[in-house]
Amino acid sequence: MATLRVKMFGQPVDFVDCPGLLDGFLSILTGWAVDGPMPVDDTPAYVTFTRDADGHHWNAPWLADGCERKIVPSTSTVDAVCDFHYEFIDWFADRHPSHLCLHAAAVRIGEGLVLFPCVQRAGKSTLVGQFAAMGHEVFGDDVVGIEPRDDHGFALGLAPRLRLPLPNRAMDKGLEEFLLDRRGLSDDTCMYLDLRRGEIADLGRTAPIRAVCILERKDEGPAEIGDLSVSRALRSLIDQNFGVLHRPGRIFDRLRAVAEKADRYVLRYSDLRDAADRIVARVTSHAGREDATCRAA
Amino acid sequence: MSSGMTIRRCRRAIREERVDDALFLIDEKEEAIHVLDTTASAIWHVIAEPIDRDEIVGLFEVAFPEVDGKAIERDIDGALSFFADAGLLASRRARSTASTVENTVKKARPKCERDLLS
Repeated sequence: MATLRVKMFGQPVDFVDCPGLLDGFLSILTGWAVDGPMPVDDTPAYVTFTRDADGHHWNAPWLADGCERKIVPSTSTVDAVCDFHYEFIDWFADRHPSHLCLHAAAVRIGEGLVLFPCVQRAGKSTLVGQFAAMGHEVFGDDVVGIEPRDDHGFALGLAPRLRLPLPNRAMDKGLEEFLLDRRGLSDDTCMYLDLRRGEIADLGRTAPIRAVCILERKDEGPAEIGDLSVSRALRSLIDQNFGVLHRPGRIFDRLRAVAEKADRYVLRYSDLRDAADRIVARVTSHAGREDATCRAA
Repeated sequence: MSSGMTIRRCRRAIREERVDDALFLIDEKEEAIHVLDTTASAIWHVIAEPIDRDEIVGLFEVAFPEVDGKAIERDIDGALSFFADAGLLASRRARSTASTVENTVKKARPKCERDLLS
């Protein structure tokens, strides 16, 4: 049995008979403090990954609800990284109980974030890729934190993950080339984007949430933006909150403040570039109005 | 919900917050936030005092004469079932689904299966 030990945020993490899994995780984590490898001593591992004939396994005794999880059959590194991807988020949530965690995508446009609460198959990961290709910083394609001091968005430093094949009908040549150029850990069903510095925010980077946008796919036609009520935005935020579950009154107050303060809209789209252009135009126009109001005041 | 049954809210304090047309019920003890649509929030207000289920139906039939009586009963029973499931009534009943009420309760983390990729 060969054990490879590293420290993540000062805690030992062991990889038993699966050294490729560490490389896989490192390729999708941005801004995570990982030191090592280092000698294995008597200190119990915070997390242990193992691999045997059945696949990869995870053991995290500190997790309140269960500790050992067997995935069958995650035998390849890509499978295992996909399967364990969310354990990092649980880990983050466990260590940052005052942060909210939302199942949502977020990109920084100018100084503020546009948050896209999760809607199944709305295409948010590919849209996030489109924003990255246009030079906007990705804060997350699937999970975004909200920090407790100012309720700003908080990046978790996890690479976007896209389903394959790519939706070529919805994307232009430039995006296709960008995505293939940034193709990271992948197989024939999914790919992580290996974004460069400045294209993806490190773990812990924050920015104010300027807009909440619900995505809706449509088969054809130009992108359309409609207004979204505070209640619908708030419902989507509450529904997608999974990090902190206790003190619901506090969660409600925080998310209500986010929903009320943000610009809110629904975007119906078929073409990714068209969608991204509409959002950028909307955000820029809203920011322009705010600036004008500030100057007038 | 049985005909003739008296409906009572639970005794513990439930915080209510109205946002636009939605009513949010915040239940600190059960660590849950529920979102009620217009019909369900109206029923929630009606049951602020103990009331017979059939009286609720009667009130709604008077208020919405254009709506089919069966549909009213279905909506009311759906909402009451939801309240019961959520522990918002004085006595609980078996779990069921409420189509007229949207609820947001304890959420599990996102699933990680590949078919959830977007």
